[in-house]
Amino acid sequence: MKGAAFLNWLMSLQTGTIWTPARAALRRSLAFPLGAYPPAMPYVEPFVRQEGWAREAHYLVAGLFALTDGAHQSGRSLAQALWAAGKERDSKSVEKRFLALLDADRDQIAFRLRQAVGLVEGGLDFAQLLEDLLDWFHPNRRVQARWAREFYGAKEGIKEEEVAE
Amino acid sequence: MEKFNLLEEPWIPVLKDGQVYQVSLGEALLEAHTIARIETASPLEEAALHRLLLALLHRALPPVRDEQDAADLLDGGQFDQGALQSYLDRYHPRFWLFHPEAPFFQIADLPEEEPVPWTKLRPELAGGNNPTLFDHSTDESPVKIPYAEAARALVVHQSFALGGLLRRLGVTSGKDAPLARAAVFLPTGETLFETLVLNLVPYEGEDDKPLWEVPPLKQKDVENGATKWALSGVTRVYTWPSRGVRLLDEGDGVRYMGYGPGVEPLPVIFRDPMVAYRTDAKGTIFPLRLSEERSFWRDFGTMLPSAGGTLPGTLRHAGAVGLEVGRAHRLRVLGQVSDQAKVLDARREVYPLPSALLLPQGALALEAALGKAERLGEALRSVAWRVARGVLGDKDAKELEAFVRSLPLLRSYWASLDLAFPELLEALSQPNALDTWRLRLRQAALRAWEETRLFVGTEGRHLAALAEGERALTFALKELEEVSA
Repeated sequence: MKGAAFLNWLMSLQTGTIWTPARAALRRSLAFPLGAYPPAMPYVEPFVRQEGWAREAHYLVAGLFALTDGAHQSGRSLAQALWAAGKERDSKSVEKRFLALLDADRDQIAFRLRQAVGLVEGGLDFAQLLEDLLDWFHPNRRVQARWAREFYGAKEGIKEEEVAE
Repeated sequence: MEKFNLLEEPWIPVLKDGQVYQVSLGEALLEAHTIARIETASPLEEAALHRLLLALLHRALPPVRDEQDAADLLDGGQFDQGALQSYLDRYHPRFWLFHPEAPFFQIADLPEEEPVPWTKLRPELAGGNNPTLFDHSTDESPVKIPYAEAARALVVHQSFALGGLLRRLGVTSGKDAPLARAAVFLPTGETLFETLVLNLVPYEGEDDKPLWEVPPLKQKDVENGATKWALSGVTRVYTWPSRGVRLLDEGDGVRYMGYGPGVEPLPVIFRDPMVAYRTDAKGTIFPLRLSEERSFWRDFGTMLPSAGGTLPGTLRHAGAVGLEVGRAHRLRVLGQVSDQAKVLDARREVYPLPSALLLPQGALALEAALGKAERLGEALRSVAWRVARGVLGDKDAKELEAFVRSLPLLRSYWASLDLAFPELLEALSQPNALDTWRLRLRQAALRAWEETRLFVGTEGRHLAALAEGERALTFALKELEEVSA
């Protein structure tokens, strides 16, 4: 699993004394085009093997990880966390942002994710987030569909393999 | 002047030795054991031709009293040639398609003025106010058709003519022919002989005469609705003269005909053996009909005695014969779909013959199975509405309804079940039939949902609506399991 391996890498940064400068560089990198902020490169580049969107997705997840100060919580997806945030605030705006996030294209996704993560209280499953982002632009949009299911609470729903049969 | 005797001239299309031939009425009966089946594209023709053959058999053979007699008849391997031949010889003069006094199924002295194109005889052809279904012929230029085709069209018309405006010979409107709106049940076997035996319901010949055993009708008999017969008796109804027709011979074919009213039917309590009946909430009895948008099997339940219905005589008889001889047969449901005086469709649906329906457990199982299918269908409808509201927001009901209709959810669900239903009928007497059916329902619903998912789209609002719909679907599927447990 790419997500798990990358998460291990990020968590290894977190334990050392380099975490403070690394966190600052990674947070700052979110204000630039993904993967184009040189100070962040030492913390991501050693891990990245591919070009294109896959490379950018790693920078994005690393930035968001830094943004939450490394609050990883296994099994808590962004969609679930947003649903909880929406319930907490009792407002429609979270749902609107969530829908906008589902429709995000490559230009918008970094900004919208950063906004969404900013709404969330508590930790997120960053390993899953990377896996999902790597698949984000697949034409069947399974990831977005699953996020919608998670957000709208069809959790115990239907197993995918059964539907696809 | 006497021309084209239907007992001798070939006009009935049959499948024999793997090929389609036309045979005469005589040959169809005498050689029925060598013929696979009547082979025609038109479901209506299939029904009408079988009824004509059956009317002859009922009169020519010693009456069948029960399934035992029918089984004996099957054991014989063919019809009693002597009895048949002597009956056919006796009524030979009544089977001329053209005859100065007694043309078959027609009225000899109808006026030739204001002739009508022959296409009026075929309900499935465009003409009059029928919508264009399968062809684009027009009333202005009817093609000339051979005698054989004219004879078939004539028989179809007498069975299936829809009531409506007529305005001829002092009669303003014509009545429905006996099969105009009903679904026709025709059990079928391996050969035409078997098929005919299966449909030769127990018969008592009193007070019943087919058209060729009574004096030929004249124009004066149908003018101003002069003749009224009780609509009862198996062979009388099978050969009911719904309209006055006089085919006009052009030497080598038919293009026009004289046309007028037929005998007025007096409604009486008579159950056509090929028709199923159901009772509505007020206790009125209706023949079961085919419907435009749903396959017929969904209404199988309403003809069960437990639902106040009556199984067609042919189905009861053939089912009993099947149990007696230990063989499974098939069932064809034929007929036209109409809206008042318009024909919308002609249908043929083929199922295994559900002998198990005659046994109480079989009927109960079928009722339960159909109930489950309808309930899940209802649940899917509400899922579809949820998706529609999710995608469109709170639009007016009409717009939402249109969107719901456009979703493949219900269409796909029922289409899958169309394929699964014959399997259910076949397995009806087995203990696990209902479990298998429940599995089929679940698969059908999930497949339909998957198609819907692909259909709706993948923008955020679509995904949100689908997530809502899926939650409702999960709930409905859980219910399906619980109700059955």
